[in-house]
This record gives sequence, C-alpha cells and structure tokens, in this order.
Amino acid sequence: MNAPTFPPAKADAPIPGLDPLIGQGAAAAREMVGSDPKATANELKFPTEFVVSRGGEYFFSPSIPALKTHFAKST
Amino acid sequence: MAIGAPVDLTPIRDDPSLATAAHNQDFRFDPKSQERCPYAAHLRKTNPRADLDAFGGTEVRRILRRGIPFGPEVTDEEKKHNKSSNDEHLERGLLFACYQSNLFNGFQFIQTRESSYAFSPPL
Repeated sequence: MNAPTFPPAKADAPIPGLDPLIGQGAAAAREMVGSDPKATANELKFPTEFVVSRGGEYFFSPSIPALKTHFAKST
Repeated sequence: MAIGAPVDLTPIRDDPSLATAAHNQDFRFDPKSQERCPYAAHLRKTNPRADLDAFGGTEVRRILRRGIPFGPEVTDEEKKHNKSSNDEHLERGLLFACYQSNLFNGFQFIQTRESSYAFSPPL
C-alpha cells in the first residue's frame, strides 16, 4: 500500500482493520478489531469475500455526447 | 430513506423511536472511542463523520447511493436445503451505483482509502 494520506497513528492507537463488507486487501481475507466492546483489541477475521465484485465502470452523467451536443455546445 | 435506530445512539438494544427520519442520522461518532460502534464497521469506514473533524471533515467525500438490488426471493427449494441455488436464473446481487462530483474524492477514495485501508479512520 502506498504512503498514508493521514498523519501517522499515535503509538497506542489501535489499527481499525478493513471494512468486513467491502474492504479489499491483497488477499480475500480481512481483519478488524473492535467488534467486542469488552475486548476491543480482539481481532475478527473474515477469510472469504463478502462481496464478490463482478466488474465496474465509471460514467459521465450527463453523457459525453449529451454534453457535446446539448449542455456544452457553442452557440 | 429507511435505515433504523443508529447503533451509536443505542448500542445495546433496538430503540424504534430513534428509527425515524428525525433521529436516524443524529449521530456523529466519538473519535476517541469504538465502544458504541467499531472503527472498522462498514458504516463508520464509509462515512467516518466526526472521526474526520480534525482532518478536514467529510463534505468533499459525499456520494449519492442509487444501487439496484436484483434477483428473485428465496425459493421454497432453497429454503428446504438451506442453501442458495447455483442456477444462474436465481443469481442475486446489487448493481451498486453512486453519483459524486469528483470520483477521486468520492467512490474511489471511500473504497481504496477508507474501506480497504487498515489505518482508516485516523486515530
């Protein structure tokens, strides 16, 4: 993982872990802490993905043709 | 939008009176504590609220979620075997769609720098 965008954590701060629902790590397995309020350092491990991603795409809204022919056309 | 009583306001038991539109967004998290809601909980990771007050806040990260779930209800056959079918006609899922003014600040940031980043929210 690249350089963190946030300042470094305080020495005694816990490391929260990955989002169990949609977190994506190097492998399918994810870990988090904090699920037990009486033992907040206990790790909870999720060995398989919860969300199986099938693909994705980014789109313009409005579309590029609509921008060119209607919203941003020169008069 | 129907959500429910926030765990951060009532962590031990459900409180339907807080599930109303007037109250179900009425929580900010305590950045110093995960006793009421774990730091890594999905909804805290994707919208850290007060956890980011010292780091510029969350306004620039806002997205509009308009996902579309698909697939039929559980069939009697699946209920009987307590197992979902492999039949492709019975596939279920979510077509997740969201809108934001800036992809880098929105979905991409939430997915890569919050949900998939062990050190988020910053402590």
